[in-house]
Amino acid sequence: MVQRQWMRRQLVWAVLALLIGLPGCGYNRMVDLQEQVQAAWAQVENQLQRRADLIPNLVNVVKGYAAHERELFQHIADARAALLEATSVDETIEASRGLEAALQPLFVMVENYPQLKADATFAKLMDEVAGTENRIAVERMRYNQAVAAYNAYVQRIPATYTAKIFGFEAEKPYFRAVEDAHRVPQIEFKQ
Amino acid sequence: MSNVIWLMLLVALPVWGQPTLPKPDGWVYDAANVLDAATKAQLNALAADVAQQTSAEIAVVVVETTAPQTPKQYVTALFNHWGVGKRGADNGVMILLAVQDRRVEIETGYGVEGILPDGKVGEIIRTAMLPHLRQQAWGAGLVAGAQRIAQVLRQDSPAAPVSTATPDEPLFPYRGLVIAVALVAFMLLLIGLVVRRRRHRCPKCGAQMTRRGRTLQTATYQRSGLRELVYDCPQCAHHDVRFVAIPPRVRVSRRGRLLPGGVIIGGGGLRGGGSFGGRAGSGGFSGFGGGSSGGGGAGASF
Repeated sequence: MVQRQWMRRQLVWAVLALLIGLPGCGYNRMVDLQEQVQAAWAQVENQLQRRADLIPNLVNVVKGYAAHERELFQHIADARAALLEATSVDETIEASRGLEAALQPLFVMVENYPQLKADATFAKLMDEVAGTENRIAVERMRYNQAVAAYNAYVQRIPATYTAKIFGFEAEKPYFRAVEDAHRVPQIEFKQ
Repeated sequence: MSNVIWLMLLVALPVWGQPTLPKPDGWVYDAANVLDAATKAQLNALAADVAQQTSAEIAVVVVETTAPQTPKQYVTALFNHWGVGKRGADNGVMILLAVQDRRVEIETGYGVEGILPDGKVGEIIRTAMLPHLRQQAWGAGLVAGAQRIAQVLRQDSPAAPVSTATPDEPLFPYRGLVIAVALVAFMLLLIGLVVRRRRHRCPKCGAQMTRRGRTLQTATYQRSGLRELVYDCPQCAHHDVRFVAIPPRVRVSRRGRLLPGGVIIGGGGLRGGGSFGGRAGSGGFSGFGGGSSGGGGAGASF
């Protein structure tokens, strides 16, 4: 009889320990961090969409002066289509890098067409493209920061167990730039 | 283990290699000392005027170089560090001139991207600023650019500040603790309701008996103890004495308790700065308003 009281007391202590330990397992924190990652990713997608919208205009202006570069334009159109079709985060990152790689030859080629560079419409469009690239760089950095915070937390103990139980990803992908293409295209406009 | 190091580097990367960003010193900040006092006064007056008329904030910054960052990275970082423009309205513009890098950059806050799109900013740079900058007339170039920007801001500023930033809800830091304590109290209440004391009934009259306990021998690790229980019935004079064994003590190993985790990791700190108190009286400057930007604007080399 006394033993049962003793067991009951142990049960109470066990329940107490669980209740104090549970919020500490970091489920809420993980939810917050994941939300931040998703919000940052939404911003990245905004800017990628903006770039995707600008490109047809840019290509059209360039076509006016260099219509024979058909391969290049087709390459760009394909890369852009791939970006618009991408659904998951990994796919989008991959497609974005593909588009950046496809655009690089365009910026190099433009240097050979002084008339194109003097075109006012082209100049404005290049400003917009450069601005969009800058915005993508900023949002990508903020996204990577959010991912770093999430990854670092989810891989700690005891949060890693909570993550497995509730199905949180162990590691979210970083958005790494294409090595050569992370520079914003800088085109000299000599007036 | 190497993964951890990579993670640390990646998190540090935006901050690593960043020169310590300077504190603002009025509307105009000249680290390269290329502007004379008259030009500074002119720019200060212009910025103060625009701030008063439209609440938009223009910052002019001159540095020798922005290395190791690119000029655009630097102007974006500095813009958000100082918080140019009013919080919520994000109506700030920063003009950066990097003399040694031969680069001019203009950063537009979220709120003015509509009236100052990148194309327009680029056109302002090319037509108003570059001719002066190519002649190394830094002051004239900056003034010309600032005047064009001010003109657009005066003409096209939205009537009411547009709230673009999501209001930050300060996380109540003890929220988890309060919930835990409330849960514990609730559980204890439940346990108290469920657990019942055994009633001892008098065999003679059936009323509830009182119980008094007295420990005759305490339990040790070696032997059990002995406890004397005395039952008294309040109605009849029934009196009962029983002896009960106390179980011997057991050595319990110390095992680690689940410690509440949840170390707060600071999030990235590029968004939204506070306002810095500048010197009051330098052209009516009392700090920037806490606006933010996202890399908008344009730049050019000369």
